[in-house]
Amino acid sequence: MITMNRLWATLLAGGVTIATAAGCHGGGDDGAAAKASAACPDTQSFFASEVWQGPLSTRCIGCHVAGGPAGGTRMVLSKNPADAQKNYETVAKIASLADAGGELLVAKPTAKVPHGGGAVLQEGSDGALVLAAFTDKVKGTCSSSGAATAQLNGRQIRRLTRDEYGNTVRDLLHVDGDYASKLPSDPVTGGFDNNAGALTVSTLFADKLRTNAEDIAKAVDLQTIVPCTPAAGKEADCAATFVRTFGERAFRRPLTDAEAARTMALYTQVAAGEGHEAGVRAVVNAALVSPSFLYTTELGETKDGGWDELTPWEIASELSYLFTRSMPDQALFDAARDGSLAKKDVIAAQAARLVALPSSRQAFARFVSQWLDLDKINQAVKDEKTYPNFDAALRTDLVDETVSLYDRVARDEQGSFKDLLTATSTQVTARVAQFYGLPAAPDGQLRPVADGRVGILTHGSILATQATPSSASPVRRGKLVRERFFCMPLAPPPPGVAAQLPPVDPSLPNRARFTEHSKNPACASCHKQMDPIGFGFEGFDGAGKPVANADVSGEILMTQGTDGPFHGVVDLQAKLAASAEVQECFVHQVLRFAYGIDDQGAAADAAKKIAGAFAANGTKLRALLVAFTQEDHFVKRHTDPDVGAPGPGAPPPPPPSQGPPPGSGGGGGDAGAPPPLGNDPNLVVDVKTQSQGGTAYQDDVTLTNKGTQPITWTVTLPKAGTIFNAWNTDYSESNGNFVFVGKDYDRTVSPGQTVTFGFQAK
Amino acid sequence: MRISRRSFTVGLGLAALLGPVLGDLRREAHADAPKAAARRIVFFFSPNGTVHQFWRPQGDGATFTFAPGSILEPLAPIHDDVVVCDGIDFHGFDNHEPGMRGMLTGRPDGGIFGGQSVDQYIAAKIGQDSRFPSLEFGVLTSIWGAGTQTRMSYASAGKFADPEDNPTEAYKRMFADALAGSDAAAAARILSKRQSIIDLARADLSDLRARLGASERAKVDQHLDAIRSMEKGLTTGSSCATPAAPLALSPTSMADVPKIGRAQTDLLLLSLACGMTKVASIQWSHTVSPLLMSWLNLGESHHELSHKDDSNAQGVQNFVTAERWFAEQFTYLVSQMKATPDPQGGGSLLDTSLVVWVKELGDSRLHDAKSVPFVLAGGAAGALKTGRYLKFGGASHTLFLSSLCQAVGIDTSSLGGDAAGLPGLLG
Repeated sequence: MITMNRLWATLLAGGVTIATAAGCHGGGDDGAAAKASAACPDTQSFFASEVWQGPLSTRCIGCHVAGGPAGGTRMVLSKNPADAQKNYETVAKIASLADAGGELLVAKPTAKVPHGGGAVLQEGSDGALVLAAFTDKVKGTCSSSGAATAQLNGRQIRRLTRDEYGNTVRDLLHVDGDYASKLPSDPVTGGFDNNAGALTVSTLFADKLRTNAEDIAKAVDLQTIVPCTPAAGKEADCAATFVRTFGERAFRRPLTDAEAARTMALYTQVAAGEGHEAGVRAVVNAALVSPSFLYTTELGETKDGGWDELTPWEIASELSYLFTRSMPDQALFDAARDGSLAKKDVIAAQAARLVALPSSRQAFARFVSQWLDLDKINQAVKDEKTYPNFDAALRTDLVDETVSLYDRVARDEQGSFKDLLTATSTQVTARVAQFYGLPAAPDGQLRPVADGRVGILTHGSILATQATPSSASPVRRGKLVRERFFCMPLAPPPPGVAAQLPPVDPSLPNRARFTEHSKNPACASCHKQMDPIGFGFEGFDGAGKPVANADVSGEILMTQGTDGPFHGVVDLQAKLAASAEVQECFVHQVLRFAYGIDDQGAAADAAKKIAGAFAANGTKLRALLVAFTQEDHFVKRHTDPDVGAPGPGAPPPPPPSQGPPPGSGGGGGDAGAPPPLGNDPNLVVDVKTQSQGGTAYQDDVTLTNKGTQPITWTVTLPKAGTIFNAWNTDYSESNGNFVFVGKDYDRTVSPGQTVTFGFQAK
Repeated sequence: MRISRRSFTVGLGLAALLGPVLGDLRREAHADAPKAAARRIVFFFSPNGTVHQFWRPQGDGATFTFAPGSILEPLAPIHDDVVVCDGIDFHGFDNHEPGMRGMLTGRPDGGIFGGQSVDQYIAAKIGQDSRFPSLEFGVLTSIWGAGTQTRMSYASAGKFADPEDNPTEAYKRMFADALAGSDAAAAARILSKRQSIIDLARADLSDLRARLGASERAKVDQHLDAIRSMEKGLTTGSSCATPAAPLALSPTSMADVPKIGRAQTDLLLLSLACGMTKVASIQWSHTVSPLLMSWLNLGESHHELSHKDDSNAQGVQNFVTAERWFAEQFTYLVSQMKATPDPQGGGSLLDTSLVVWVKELGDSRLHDAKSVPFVLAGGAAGALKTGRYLKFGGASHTLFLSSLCQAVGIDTSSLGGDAAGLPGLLG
């Protein structure tokens, strides 16, 4: 379901991005191909279900067919279903085109640019919004209906990243062992590995999660996690206590009675065959594969005028994973339990407390390593002759220097973004001191930087990563600044360009190798965004060591307000520190990391607002991090229209036992209809009905097996209206009733267990 | 758990391991098929396109040779077992990342299997009764994380089927149950406990799903699918004795790529010979590969080597050296399949299977997608006529993907314009 505000904001944000990147793509087809390379995974299905079914086949196709009034334009469609793919490609190409009037696919039908058919769609209408959303997808702005999205103020679940999982296992169960690396790698979105829309569970992931859980359950020292040592005969009581207390820590919230019951059923089953300890280990095993462990939820419970308020438990997890990349500690759990964590001032105080903990360093390390691409240092090949002994230990220590700088500045209440770029002190190991030519000092002692190494961009960690095996790379260094400090991503080279560099000529400066980038207009439009910045780094070689007498003149081009020449990296950093757009970009980076969402649309608006306060407050870092905890997004989310109770003004839901509300149309449903039927006396059927507005309603059905044998269930409800959406069930109609059975994964209810299914009808 | 730390030895092991049968071998009852069809399919990926001048064989049809020094020359021992395919293009897209996305799906978005890649599509149709519907082996695929540049297999639109990059982990996944070495009663208890724990996770997911809006439900559905896919295989046994474990190797060590690749290839071969899967793939690195092939004395990354233009003879030769090494790895895989009898009879594993060498670009220097180099191997149980060099004049690779489905006995009539497959390919 597409909401107007979200799409409109996306269109506006998309418009800004296009203006910046437009220069990069050469003429027509090359540009389209390069743009198409950014398209989103669901672009084609969105086209088929929304664009074609929507405006194209209802409004546009009247003229835009072969032989029709628009048969000679760039957009000629076909009504033949076999031409579906051709239609998609035709329209995707149009979607990649824009001129001064705007993006053609929207601007033409709304007559913002000359259009033979005039204004066939109103600006802001559903049809126009669908075309705008499609245009965004083609260009790579991937927020959409249907596919999992990560939106500001959206209710979402967030799968733990590998490192979050590893930290949580360690903190929950006190086990050693690198279980995290056994899971498949996390996808990287916008530079970060914790995008809620991208983190999913593949078959391999599910299998490794399972085997990890079995191994961890075997390895855990139960004495550290079980609160009772039961006497013979009292073991079930101890287990019941354990299920609740351990469960609360594992799920980061109290268990529901249903969860506790089915977990106890598992304990009972295993303990019967293998004893109490095996039963307890099975409980641990089950917890580690539960979605309640693997995901944090940002869903809320209490409704408040179109918003769902996040629970204090959910806020505790938000705080702990943001600031420590691990589960809440006891103090956070306590603040959740007593409800105080719902209040913004308590949240701010907890945030400040967490920043000061040693464990916050692992969160700062993840942020800065991803923001500045430091993770790649281990794969930065160094030619042994040119840069001898650039070994693994040095690489690790160089990254630590950068993490330490960020960590130090973030912990200091007065520490600022500007401080990162103008730092005159550093903390290094002896290895790095030697590398930099600094005098010996104890590892990690705060001391003045080496000559010319003021600010984070002079760190070896960055300079050596953004390089080639035997030379510095002005292109890579410029690209890093452009993408991570100006938030301007660059497209890959268009096809047909032979992208080979001339070899290094020792008699010429490095920058002479790149003259083709500026001479050749096909290259220049992108490369002038990178190379002139990167040339300013030529005072440092491909390992990050100083180069004597280098020409370090550089220039920033094609920005909103930071254009101008500079001389060397220290000068560059001074310009970046003072730049409003760079400060705003940094806020975007932190937003992505903090919220795990795409920073388009409404999120971009929020970032702009936060950036204003950030700049006014001297770009203080810790205050920025706390500011993210004070936004609406941190404590509540928009109610989803297709789940849960209606918003204000809609009729209140009828009591659950009555079945569908009066006036629901269709066959059967009068007041006094027979109660719902399960097909087994031990099958308890609980139906919750909610109005969805008008005649639409939703039933959520919970089946519980109170017996001792598995039940292959069938549920019969009186027919009311027509079902348009159902989950976890296959349904049919018979004799004025709806008849429900399970899908193959929930066809049978085990003893003591529950199955849930639901449907919507009107 | 007594595991010998010997690594796999070239050429030995497979036949010996097919001895005693442990547990059930669930044989798929083959209905009398009207057409011959491969029992299994293997995908072999290496990155960054090619330089056609050094790739194309000489000759045509059934009369062709590999020129001395050419990229495919290492295939000489399997000359009669391969089909070299020239002139198959990607239609409508090119460049590194779209190539990687569209190579097995048909298009960068959507594609001809609704967003699934062909290997996963095939696994969904023929792999459901196997211990693993499919097995994805990786060699340094993930140093950049999971992304559209580093993944070639899609379980569904936009959702990767991740490869396993660590041979030890792949081994444990394949043989863990046998390694646990329990008796039948204990095994039954373990299975029952596993099932109950899976049921619990499923109940939790079901509850969670009911609280979610449309876009988030997709995540839970995918998680449920993943559990179901994993769960089915837990009751299926292996027909093999447990082999020695591979060497412990770091999945991010470029210098160890030859050893990692060999270990992964041997595990892949075992998975086929032991009836664990019918769909397997080995993915060597990924597009824009940063792989430094130091064991060949190459001083630049594979991606950099792929961009040497014709005026740089030594540079291009270095790229050819790298590509010949991949050809050697492909030859090893195919030769081993040729030397291993199919446990179900009917000849060697190669006779009854189909092996496909895929790449994501045509000319590496131009980033184009013209004549994307595909090489087939194997008799496909009679469905493929081998020992040919074919030229397809620019046909869409979606037809090629459709033919692969046909070769394993899948009805492709639902694939619209690609239903007929690539004329002349299967012979």
